[in-house]
Amino acid sequence: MKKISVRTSDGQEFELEENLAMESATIKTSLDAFSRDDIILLPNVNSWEMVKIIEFFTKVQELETKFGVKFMEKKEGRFLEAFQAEFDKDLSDDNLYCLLWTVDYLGIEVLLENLCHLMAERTKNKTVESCRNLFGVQHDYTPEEEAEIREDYSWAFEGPEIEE
Amino acid sequence: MDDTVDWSNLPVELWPLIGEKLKVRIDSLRFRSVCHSWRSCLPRFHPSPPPKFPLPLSDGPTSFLSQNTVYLLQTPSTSSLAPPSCGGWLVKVEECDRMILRNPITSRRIRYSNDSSSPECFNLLEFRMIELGKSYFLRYIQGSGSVVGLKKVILLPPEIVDCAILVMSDKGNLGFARSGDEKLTRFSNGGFVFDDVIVFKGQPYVVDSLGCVFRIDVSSEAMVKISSKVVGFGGRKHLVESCGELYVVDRYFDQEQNKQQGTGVESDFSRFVLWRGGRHQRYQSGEPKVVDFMVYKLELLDGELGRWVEVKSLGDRAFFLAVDCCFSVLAQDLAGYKGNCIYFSNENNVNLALREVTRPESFVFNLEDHSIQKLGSSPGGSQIFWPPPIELGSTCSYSLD
Repeated sequence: MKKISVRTSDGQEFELEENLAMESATIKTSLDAFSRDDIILLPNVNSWEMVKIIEFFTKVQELETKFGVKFMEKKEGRFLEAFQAEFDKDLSDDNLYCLLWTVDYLGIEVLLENLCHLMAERTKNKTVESCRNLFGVQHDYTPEEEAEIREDYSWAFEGPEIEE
Repeated sequence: MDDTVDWSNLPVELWPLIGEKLKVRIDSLRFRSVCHSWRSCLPRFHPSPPPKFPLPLSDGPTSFLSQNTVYLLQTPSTSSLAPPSCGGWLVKVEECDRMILRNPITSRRIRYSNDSSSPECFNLLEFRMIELGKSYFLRYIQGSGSVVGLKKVILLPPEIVDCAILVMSDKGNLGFARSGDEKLTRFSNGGFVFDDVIVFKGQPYVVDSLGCVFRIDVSSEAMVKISSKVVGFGGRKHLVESCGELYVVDRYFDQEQNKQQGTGVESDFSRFVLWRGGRHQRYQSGEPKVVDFMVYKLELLDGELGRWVEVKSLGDRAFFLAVDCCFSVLAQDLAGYKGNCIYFSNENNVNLALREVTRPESFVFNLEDHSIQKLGSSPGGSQIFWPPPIELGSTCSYSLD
């Protein structure tokens, strides 16, 4: 299989399998514009991120072989669970931010799906306030809007019933 | 890699992609409460249609899967750094069109009356909700009533097979089905009567009435025996995971009423006769009275069958034998609960509990002196389920089970 060469922002070169390279919309666009023998420059991707992306992609291919189905066709829970089990604990929130950004930049849909899932899991089991602190988000609701949110909670539940 | 990261630089189109992964209403509510941009990128939660499964005697999928989640509610100050007297609260929520609050042990619906227009329950702006575990049961597609005759339902981990369940009938038989299957596959159980099934370390395990534990290999329908039997003669065994180990809790019934499996069908029928007589007729459960528990921990040995070691104390943990699931909690995380105790219900029939034919009660068994007390009768006992400890500015009054 043909290898595509890329160079990351810190000057390291990687040889990617063609099928991985073609998953990235950004790389694919570059390849269409230039010859496949050229090295593609990725100024927004550093080598740590590249290593991780190759690792993730290898895992997804492994799972697709194991389960016999393409992830993007069915997006089955078992892919997400297996991916999470393998990678979640070693990724800090900051790591995850960098990878999300990079994978979005490279346009690798299959990895973006999995990373978004990891990210969604991290919003669970927290208070709203700690979500704000974690993600550097400002509390920008007016008191009226907050009241509306409280209503969200109350009517999310079955209405009250009076005991006879 | 940057030392500090500025999340506001994350491309805005990613937030909807992240938010849409949240399939549970509580998580979606939380996401939408954080700020304007998160709120606007995620529409109001609509539950996805539940998976459908066949039933023991049916053709085609005639039931759908309902899910209960047990949450630990904590105010932000009651984190692990706070003094132990500030405990959190357990609550069970059934996810369906709207969410339904249930007693975490009996699964009985919690009812409340309100004077003002909206009770401010579950204000996620103030509470932290930690998921402790999920339990499942099946409802008929026609009419949504809970399915009769099933003791327990578990959802298999997605790594094994996507969207599939194991069901255990009241008689102790085991069946398997994938979502949308036409028929339930019954596992041949070689004459064993099964008491409980759980997922432990990503694999399904069952225990039979003698305490032998088997790991189930779903693809080959094989049952691998992993333990010898428990030296105990209780009427029902429960599997509980605690701190990464597997326990069996043996429930002892009043001697005269012990081993009631044979009368299962007759006693169920008599309950239904009374139920049809009047919708709100209270029926005193004919369930045998629980008199004792024994707890064992499984010691797995290389190359040999695991053996059960009696556990005299649970230390600072409390076991919950809810009608549809079992779990263990660190007692100090909860207000009003004690360690070294087993909290349980006197109603063993999931279906009767959910249909509210019977009025089950919650009890606590203390391992230290083997005493059993009814919750609700002890001071502060009735308050450990509802309401939560802080003022929500509510004008609600709550009636407890």
